[in-house]
Amino acid sequence: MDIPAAILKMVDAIYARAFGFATALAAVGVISMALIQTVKDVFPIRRWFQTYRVRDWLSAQAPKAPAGGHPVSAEAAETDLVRLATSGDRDAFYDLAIEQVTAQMNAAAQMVLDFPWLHPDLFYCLAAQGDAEDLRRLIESRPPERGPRPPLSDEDKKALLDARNRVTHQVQRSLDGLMIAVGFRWKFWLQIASFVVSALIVWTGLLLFVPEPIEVLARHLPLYAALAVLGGFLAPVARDLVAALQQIRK
Amino acid sequence: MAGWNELSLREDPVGGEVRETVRELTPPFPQGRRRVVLLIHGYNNTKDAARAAYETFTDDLAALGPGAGALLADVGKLYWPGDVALGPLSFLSYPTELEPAKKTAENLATYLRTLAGPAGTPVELYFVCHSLGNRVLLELLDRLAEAPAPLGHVAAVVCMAAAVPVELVDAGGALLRGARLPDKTLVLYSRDDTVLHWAFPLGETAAGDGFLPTAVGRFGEPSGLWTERDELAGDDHGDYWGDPRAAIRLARVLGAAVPQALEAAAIARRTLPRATAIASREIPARELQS
Repeated sequence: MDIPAAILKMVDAIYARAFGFATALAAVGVISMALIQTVKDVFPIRRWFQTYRVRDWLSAQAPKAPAGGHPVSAEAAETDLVRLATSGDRDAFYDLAIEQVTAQMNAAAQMVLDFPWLHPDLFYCLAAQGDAEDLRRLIESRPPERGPRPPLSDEDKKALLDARNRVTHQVQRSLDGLMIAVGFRWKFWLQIASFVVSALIVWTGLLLFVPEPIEVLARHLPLYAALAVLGGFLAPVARDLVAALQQIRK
Repeated sequence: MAGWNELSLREDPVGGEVRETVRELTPPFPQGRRRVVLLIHGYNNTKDAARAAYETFTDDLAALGPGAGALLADVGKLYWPGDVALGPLSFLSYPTELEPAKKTAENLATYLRTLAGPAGTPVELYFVCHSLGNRVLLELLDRLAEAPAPLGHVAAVVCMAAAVPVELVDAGGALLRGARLPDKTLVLYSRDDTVLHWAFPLGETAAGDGFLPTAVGRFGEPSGLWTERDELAGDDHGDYWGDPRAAIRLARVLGAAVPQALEAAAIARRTLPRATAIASREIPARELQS
């Protein structure tokens, strides 16, 4: 019994039956990817998405911040953020890749951590998970309106430095979290979009090019819908499947 | 070329006297920064030689990734006249460099007492020193322990190949008070440092600073004083600034995330001992007598 030959025969059989379907789905995948890329290039989809996500993040941070009674405005924080990050150019800021958006936010955060009393809304939003006492200490480190700053004791100096280090760390980790979450969500929605577009292409193809009387078509609609959904899921990976099958046959 | 902030206590690029005041070559640094990391070179370094050594170090730091690279904005390169204009013979100047080191420390301490962070808030000070730069550092810390900087806090120091006699920082040592000032002290040493092994004891003895003393940078002594000690095995005296391990240690001291390679563990190859041949012995045949 020639086991390797039997396995190769089975692969050939799969290839013969699945290759046509896989090739069709690969073409659907290419078309759907091209459509999505075109839409991404023509419309500022990513900018809208990132604007929404960052605003949403700031709005979620604002009520969590231990601001000691200070009302925290996410809108004011966002305006301040864009002003510090890209000199107020909102489109330029949100048009960047998310890694660069958070890098610009980090650069803005350094200024906020240096002078938190000048940017209270943004400070509380960025450091919302920080310790309340640390945040209070930093906000109250503002210089007096007039005259020199009263000298700090060694303990106060150390406490202020420690608080600043802890809050700085917290802010950087928050921005890391934002970057990971937005990046994941962006990829997730792109994946969903590719499924939907691929499914629509398969559905359209079945409706237009399978000649059936109307009553048969009506009976087959659920089947077509199932095929369209299946095609939608498989199309994005069909190119890889086709390439893999060809590789095995060689 | 990574890192650009510079401070100078030199009058001349080669040799010369210690300046009375620190010159900020790249203002506004270090004023208004939350954190300042000063690099201090050792003896027998012209300004250009020191700059080249610093740049290998900051390049290594930048190569560790964006986390460590972001630290460069806080890094400042300090130049001080720990050399003489004797060309190839300037290495003989060691016994005469202790006074410039002390004067540099004095003037630097005066300058650091004027430093302030953003809006007059405190500033964290870090020092990375090599060779005789560690003497500058310990003299500086002694002065800051005596009269602290109002807004400066010495958070950590990294001492590489410290050309400082162990006796000075051991129990009862003249510089012990300063050595205890930082929150964190990391000593990098190497048993393979031939300069600290052979030349340092002679130079210190010639300078009247002790009799054939052992350098801190030779074995990292006294071990109980430093919060952390690490041997950079294989490094000779001039290798530290260009050793990426030193940049990694500094990045960790400053809290930057750096990639860490897993230690490779290998099981030593063992073989069975060679089988011992058993000696044969023949017993002479004997005949029983009836």
